[in-house]
Amino acid sequence: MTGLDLRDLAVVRDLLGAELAAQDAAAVAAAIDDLRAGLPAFRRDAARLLAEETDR
Amino acid sequence: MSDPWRDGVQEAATALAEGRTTSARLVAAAIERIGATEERVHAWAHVDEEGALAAARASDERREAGRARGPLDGIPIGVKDVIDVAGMPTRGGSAVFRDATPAVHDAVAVARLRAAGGVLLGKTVTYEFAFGQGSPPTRNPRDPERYAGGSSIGSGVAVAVGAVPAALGTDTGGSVRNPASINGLVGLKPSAGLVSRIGSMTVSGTMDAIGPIAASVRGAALVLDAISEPAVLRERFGGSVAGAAGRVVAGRVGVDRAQWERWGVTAAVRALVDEALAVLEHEGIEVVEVDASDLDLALTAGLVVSLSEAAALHRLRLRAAAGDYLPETRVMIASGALLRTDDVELALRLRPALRARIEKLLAARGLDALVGPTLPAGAPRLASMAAELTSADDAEGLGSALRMLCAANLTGLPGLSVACGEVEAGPVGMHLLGRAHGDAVILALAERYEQAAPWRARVPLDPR
Repeated sequence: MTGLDLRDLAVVRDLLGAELAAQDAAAVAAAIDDLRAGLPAFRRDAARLLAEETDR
Repeated sequence: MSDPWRDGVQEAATALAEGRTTSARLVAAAIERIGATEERVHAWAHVDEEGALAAARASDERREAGRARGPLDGIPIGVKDVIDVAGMPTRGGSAVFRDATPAVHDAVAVARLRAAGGVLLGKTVTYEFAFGQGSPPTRNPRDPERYAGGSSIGSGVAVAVGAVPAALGTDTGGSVRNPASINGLVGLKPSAGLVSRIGSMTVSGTMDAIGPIAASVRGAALVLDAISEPAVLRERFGGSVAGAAGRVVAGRVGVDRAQWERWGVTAAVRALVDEALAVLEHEGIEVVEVDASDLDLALTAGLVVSLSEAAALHRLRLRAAAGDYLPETRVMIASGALLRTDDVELALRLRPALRARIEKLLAARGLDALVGPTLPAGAPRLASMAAELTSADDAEGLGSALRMLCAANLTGLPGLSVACGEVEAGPVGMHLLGRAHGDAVILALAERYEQAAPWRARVPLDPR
């Protein structure tokens, strides 16, 4: 787990308020790390599929 | 005569039509059944006994006068507590709405159900705002230590124990089909646009769907007819999905067994789905191996779209009452707010391309559906169930469950789960992903299987 950087923390604070953002920060960091881990492969494979569909 | 609570939608409709029972008897039996089971399964968020009995008496009067409105007239039905039913509170499984006053209007699908004579018995328990996080009180009737399905958990369990013959659920990434599979039932996520979502709480404005859960394929089809948009029914199904399903004569389905392996489907579940496919082949349905690996993209794309939309939809409510949300739901929504705009745009652009790719595969191979397991395993044990959304390493995790089903939501194509066997951890479902407006075809294929299968799900059943 990498934790939330300042930019992420600001977004979560804006959404939940400072107190709950602090309370949830570790869990949010784990959830977004989990999501972000799949994004490089997703970007690559989605771009490939979109290119193939555009070429047809 | 058997106990009325054992009757499915079709059996109850036939008994009503033949004068062997009345709606008042069916509703009284449903209320009695709730009384007998609720302490153990906690499937209901709200029950309107008086309103249901009054509606039942009105139905019986219509039938007596020769004005019955169709097969659902007089049949008690449950509604997931994220969908408005006039006169009942919509709490969405959340403390945010603990003091909700009764809804003034029915959701459109509920209004159509009511107009068809369906008796609205009450609201079934949901995971908070249908997000699938937290621990609602509803228990798996086969084993209270195991997951009971989600997020339409109360709808699945209410039907499984015979409290109602059918219930409505909502499905953003499998939340109708998942509890149907776990509980040995039939669950359908209809084609996008077939059933209106107006009047229901939203997870994702573009992926949510309202669909039926019932003990049989025919039961689910009859409920679908009642809740569908009349114009779409006329244009696409000749006025009735159930009727159109009855006219389907042949079939050809595709399977991608390599994908089942990649998605972590257990050997026991694969064996049961293979047995079900053998039954279909025996019935004249051709089964061909295909490469559907593009569906691997659906999980991440579906999460990116649905969570980013959920973050936008819940932003104002969170600012006002974040402390009333379950921490797990808050975390899920907050993670959606942290997604980058370019990833959301990529996922949105991918949707029509992925749908086109699936439709081309189906058309090129002359297929009516892609078939696979609904879930990778039986019901996980609650104590050890992984909640991570994207992890597919664990067959019992939420990520694996979402991976199997969210392509239907992302593309707007119809998806159906039908029970096809049972492992130690409970029932197993076979999933059919159909063509656009292929709802009748996948219902017909599932019914063909259901009628020919040597196996029957134990539903309804007495809870442990």
